[in-house]
Amino acid sequence: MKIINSLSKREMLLIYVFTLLLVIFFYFNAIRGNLVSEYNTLLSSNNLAKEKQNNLIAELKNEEEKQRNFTNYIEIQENKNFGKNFNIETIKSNKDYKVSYLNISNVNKLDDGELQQFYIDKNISLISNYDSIKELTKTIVENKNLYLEDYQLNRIGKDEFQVNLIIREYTTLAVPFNGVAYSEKNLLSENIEENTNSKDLLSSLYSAKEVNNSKEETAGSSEKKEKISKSKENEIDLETDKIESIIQPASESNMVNELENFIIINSNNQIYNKGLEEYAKNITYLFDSEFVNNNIEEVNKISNIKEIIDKSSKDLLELKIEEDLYLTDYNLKIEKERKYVSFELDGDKNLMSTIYFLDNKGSTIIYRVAKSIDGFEEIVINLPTNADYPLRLCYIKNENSVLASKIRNVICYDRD
Amino acid sequence: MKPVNFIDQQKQVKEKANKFNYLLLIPVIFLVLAILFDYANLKTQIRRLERESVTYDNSLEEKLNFLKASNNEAEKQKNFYEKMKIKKTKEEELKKALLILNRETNNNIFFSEISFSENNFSILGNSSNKSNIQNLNQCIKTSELNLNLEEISLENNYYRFRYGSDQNENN
Repeated sequence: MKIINSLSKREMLLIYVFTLLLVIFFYFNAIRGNLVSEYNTLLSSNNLAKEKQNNLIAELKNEEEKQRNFTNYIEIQENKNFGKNFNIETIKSNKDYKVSYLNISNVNKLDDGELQQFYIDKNISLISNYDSIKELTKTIVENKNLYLEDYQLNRIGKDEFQVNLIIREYTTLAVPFNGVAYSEKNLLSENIEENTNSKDLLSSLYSAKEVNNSKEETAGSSEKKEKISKSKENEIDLETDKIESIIQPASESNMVNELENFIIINSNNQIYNKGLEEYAKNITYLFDSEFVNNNIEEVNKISNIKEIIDKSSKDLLELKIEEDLYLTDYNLKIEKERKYVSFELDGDKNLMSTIYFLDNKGSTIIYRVAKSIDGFEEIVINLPTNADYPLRLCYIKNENSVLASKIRNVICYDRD
Repeated sequence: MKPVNFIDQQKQVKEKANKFNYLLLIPVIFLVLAILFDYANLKTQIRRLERESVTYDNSLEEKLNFLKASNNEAEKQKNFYEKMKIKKTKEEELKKALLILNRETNNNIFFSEISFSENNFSILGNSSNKSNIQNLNQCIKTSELNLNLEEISLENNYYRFRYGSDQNENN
């Protein structure tokens, strides 16, 4: 205090001013300096980030443009009617073509490490004149979704040609690679045309063969077709003129036995509740559409209900299909992984149906079914092993039938 | 001589000194306020920058990565379709060949077999004389078909010919 008191007024003022300057200096250096450097660092990093962001936005726009182009391109190129671009019915119904062999393969999968592709082959063998074959070839070549995997055209008469085709369809969309194949072998019932007596090269070469054939025909009428066939077409199976398919016709006794092995729930609800308890034990049930229809609210409450059936009714499950049938409202699900699902499908011979399942991930699983007999026929489908269960039976589409058809007796099982 | 009131004089000096001291407080208050204002201002700006730096963009990068991955897939698909287009152009050769054979063949020159696949395209035929083959060959050459006359052989009293093309050469 003494020191302060001994100071003159001027000196005290000087100290005061210096103290203020010191405070300002301290603030600028120690506090503000740090804050400013922090601010500058943030600002520069933000500027960098903004620059990066602008680059990102530019890149994003670029990628979006690319995506638009790809989408447009793929939209145009994608095979939207996979498996349906070549209708074998038109070939079969065309009188110009004598079809000897038809086969639709399963859906096969190709994976070259980069892209999964699925394809289906239609193998056709037919006899016709040159113009018809030329037109058929033109139709296939001009369809951008059809590819000629193999093409063998052989002259078998003066104006008679046999063509063996493998028409392939591709898709990059995910479809199951096990499907229902369709195969048909017909007898060639019509004989090769009569001889001509022309003296040109064509007549002399091809008439000679026909003479040989006609000699064989006279030698033994029962063997004639076989001989012609062996010389011309190895694939023709003379013993069987039936449609061959992996679809097995249902036998009633088998069906009854099959039913014995499953828990059956009827629509009077007595077994229904018990059935639900059993459901927890993952036992397979059969379902009945009428029951589901009548109890749709209850069924919806129990989303995990699988299959219900009314054993007392002969037509255990009947869903009427007129062209297309949406099953989504029925909530028909295969809860646990099963090997097979079988059902009986009503309809005309040659009816082609497409059955769509939807798995838990939302992937569509498509099966194509071809009927080989009139009326109810048991269809057995190998369920996919790589699907994400539950599998929902959501849609059935009839392709070439104008008549209404029905589905009944849906059973899932594991036994072979 | 007028007497001096020292007490009054001392009082006046004290009062003056107090007033001066109060005046000295003004710059201190001003300085403290200025420092506080500056500090608050800087802090606000720093906070704003910090906020911006956090929100600037994680979503953009995620979106970009997703787009890139999906475009990569789409590109593979595009390449596949491009490959398929090439396959289709090869089929055009078959269509063209069928049209030419329809136009240029007759009872003395005709084909007996056509074989076509992705890697192979061949036509087998017969002709009563060589000049017919030459005419057909000329026609095939002018139509720019990728077919070469690979073989002619004499059988009895007619010629057999074979056209072929290695489709892989195109690739």
